[in-house]
Amino acid sequence: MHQPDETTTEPGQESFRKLNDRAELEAVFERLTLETMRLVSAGLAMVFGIFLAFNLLDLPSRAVVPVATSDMVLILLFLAINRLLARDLIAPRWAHALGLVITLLVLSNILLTMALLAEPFYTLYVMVLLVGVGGLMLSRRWIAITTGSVIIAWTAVATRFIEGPEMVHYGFTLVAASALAWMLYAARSHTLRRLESLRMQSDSKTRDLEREMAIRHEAEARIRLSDEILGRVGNLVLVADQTGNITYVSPSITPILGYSPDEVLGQGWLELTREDAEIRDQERGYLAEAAADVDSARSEPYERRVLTKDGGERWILWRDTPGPAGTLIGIGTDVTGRIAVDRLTGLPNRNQLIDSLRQNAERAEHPETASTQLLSIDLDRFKLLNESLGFMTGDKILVQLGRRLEECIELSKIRSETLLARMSGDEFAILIEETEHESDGIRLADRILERMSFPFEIDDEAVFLTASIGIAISSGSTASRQDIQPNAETALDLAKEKGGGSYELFDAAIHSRALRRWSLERKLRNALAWNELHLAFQPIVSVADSKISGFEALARWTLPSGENVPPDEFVSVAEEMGLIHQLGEWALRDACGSLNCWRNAGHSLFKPGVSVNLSPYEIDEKLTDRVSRLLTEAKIEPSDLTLEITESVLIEEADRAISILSELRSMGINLALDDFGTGYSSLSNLHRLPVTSVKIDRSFVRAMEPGRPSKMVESIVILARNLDLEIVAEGVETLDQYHQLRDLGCDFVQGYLFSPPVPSTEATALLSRSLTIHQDFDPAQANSDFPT
Amino acid sequence: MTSETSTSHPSLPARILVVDDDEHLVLIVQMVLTKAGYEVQTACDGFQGLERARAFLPDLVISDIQMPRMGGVEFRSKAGRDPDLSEVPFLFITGYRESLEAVTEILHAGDRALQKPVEPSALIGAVEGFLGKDASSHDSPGTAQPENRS
Repeated sequence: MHQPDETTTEPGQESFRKLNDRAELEAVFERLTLETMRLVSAGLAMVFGIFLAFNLLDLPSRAVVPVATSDMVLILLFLAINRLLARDLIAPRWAHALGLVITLLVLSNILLTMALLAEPFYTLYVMVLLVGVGGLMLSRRWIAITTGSVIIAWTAVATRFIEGPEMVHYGFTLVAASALAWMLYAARSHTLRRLESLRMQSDSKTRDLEREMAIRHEAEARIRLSDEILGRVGNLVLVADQTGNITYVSPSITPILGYSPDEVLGQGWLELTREDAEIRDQERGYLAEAAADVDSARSEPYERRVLTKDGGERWILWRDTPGPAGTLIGIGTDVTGRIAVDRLTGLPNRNQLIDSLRQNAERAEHPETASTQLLSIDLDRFKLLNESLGFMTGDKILVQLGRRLEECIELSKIRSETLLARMSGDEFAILIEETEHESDGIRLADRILERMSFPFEIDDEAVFLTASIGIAISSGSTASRQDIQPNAETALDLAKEKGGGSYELFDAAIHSRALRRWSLERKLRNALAWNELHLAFQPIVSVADSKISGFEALARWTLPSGENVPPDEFVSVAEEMGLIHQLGEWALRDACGSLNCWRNAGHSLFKPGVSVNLSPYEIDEKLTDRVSRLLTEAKIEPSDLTLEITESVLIEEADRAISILSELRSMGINLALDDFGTGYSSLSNLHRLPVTSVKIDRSFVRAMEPGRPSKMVESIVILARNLDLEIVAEGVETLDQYHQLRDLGCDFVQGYLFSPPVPSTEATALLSRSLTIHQDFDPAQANSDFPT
Repeated sequence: MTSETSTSHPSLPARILVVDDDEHLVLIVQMVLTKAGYEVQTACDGFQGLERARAFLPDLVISDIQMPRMGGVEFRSKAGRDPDLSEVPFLFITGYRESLEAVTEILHAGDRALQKPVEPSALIGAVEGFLGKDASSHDSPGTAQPENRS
């Protein structure tokens, strides 16, 4: 039902509608009649006033008195009617009766005047009265009565004092006036009929219009209601045609994305999607597909990033249903900040990763030692694949890729926290938090690329794909950690530019250390297999008899390019990669082999021993078994072997380490504490270690000045003596150092003064010489004695 | 496998194509194999490998799994469909244990796979397994036999 809406209807429309209403129309006419009567009554009062004035001039005549009295009565009556009409005290339905009363009053006055004053001229008044009041105001019946009674009354009065032709003349005039009144009435009726017919026509049109308007109002009301409901529900409803143009959007777009519905209507939906070109293309294809075949509309909900009016983005979870005429109806829920899981792969999504990055940047627990690494992984030419095999296939591959990435992370055994997330489309990211191993990211990337070399199995078809990986490493300030994501993306772009199937590091120059480390990791595996490593031996000289008492075996690595890799570097790489056992075993076996060579060459007289460095990572429950097996294999007495350890063995699980070392000691193996004085633990821990000797670090020996004994070296010697330990000084380069150390009571010395580390064969040659160090030992001479 | 090329020229040394993006490793392998009397060509990835293989017609391809642009498995799959190369056996060298397992599943008859690091003796042993002891004789074991160095 349509209810006229007062607030929305135009004023003109309102009057129009009223005019066309029958009752209203009649009321207007009655109103007009009354208004006219009011004016007429006032006018008549004035006219009769003038008559009265003329009559009073004739006062001496007695005949005038009744006429003047009648005039005065009429004036008063007309004034009274005028006042009553002015105050709306006469109902419109009395209009005709009132008209008749006025006519009769005037007529009686005229007739009275005509009779008393014998003036036929008054007939004209009658005529005017008939035409004016009758023709314009009275109904047909009353015109007949009025004209009839006027003509009868006039004839009755006029025949008394009018004669001959004058009577005919006035009579004809009166009849003509009656006819005129009738004609006026006819004209009036005609006009009314015309108006009536017009009104009928417009009534029908109005009815049609009103019906239409009612329907429209109803529809609008329904839309308003739907809008209201959709707005309250909080979902975004969007209808897009097959080209992606928005044909409808619910008003809830305003609170969610900031646009008013009018701003986006007719716009391309894809322009609002904040995804990369690949996703947009994918969506474009999808819209076309869904338009062509309703069954291809996605049945599962999916998430897209949508651009907000202020340039931000929101995550909208869409559920699609096919709409009419190839359109697609999307019902979107704003899930920004609410969801953390990617629906397709079940992996954490972008939100969660960004969250973790933010928390990581805020935390930055160990900025100086640990780094945070981010890998951005993107499939190469995924768009082409989507186009050729369809989006469903593409989705299957993404799910498989997610699983592969999970496996790679698991297999790479990264010790710190990792987070794998699907960022968008075919882009994934892996966050490695607070890792101490710079090459973790690169190692993982390599593993992923290796895994990517295998085909994806899609419906019994092998699909080969490559991926590009961008790696960003951040350590230090919070600011640099916040840049990690854009940096990884930049690196990813670089990798893509190279043709895909590879990884790139953001700012490789800065991270050259990580790259070098990774390169060493790769090479070290081969180096062990391809015998690129060898041992060098530096003699340890007894101060008491100036003879070589043994050799320290030092691992050396020379690359095919001729470059020597510093032992510190490759030992730590080996420790990190878990290759240290292999390296340690090789060193021990090789050293024992060399010792046997020397013995076989007839140097048993000197009974030289051999010292091998032991990494803290080698100290485990199987160490004693390994060592004893190797000694048995090489037929070496345990007392001929010295294992050199550092104080760092005490950092973690000191008790366990001490117990293992004690076992070795009980086997008869000598233990030396290397780099003494520079270690992590305090000197007070020294007595806890079952060592037989300490080695004074080269830095203390180098600090010794001629003629001024070092307090530090002195303290170490006193301490070692008290603990009944032998003392070996490393890095002895000058005679002065040698003399001081000898005077302080060192047992053994080792350094360039006697010989640099030399290959095993040269070590044999050194043993062949009778070696004596005299008081006046000359370093220059020493260097000529000991080949460098 | 007995390639036509090798049987028609029995005196010529067997030809080996080494495909790996690790230049360091390619150099060493090339050195060792050349020293052992084989004719060796190298390529840095699957694309180049396929191109070289078509021109060089090797008796054996030694290939890495992970390489940029085109990996070893795709290279193998493409070579297998090439009439000139379909009979050429592959010796895969993989960096990871899981790759060794995965590659084992898709090996063609006559292929083998080894895990890095491969010692020179093991490499020569494997190559001899394919081509026979003498570098110029080309008998093949003809069976897929992955070798897991754990």
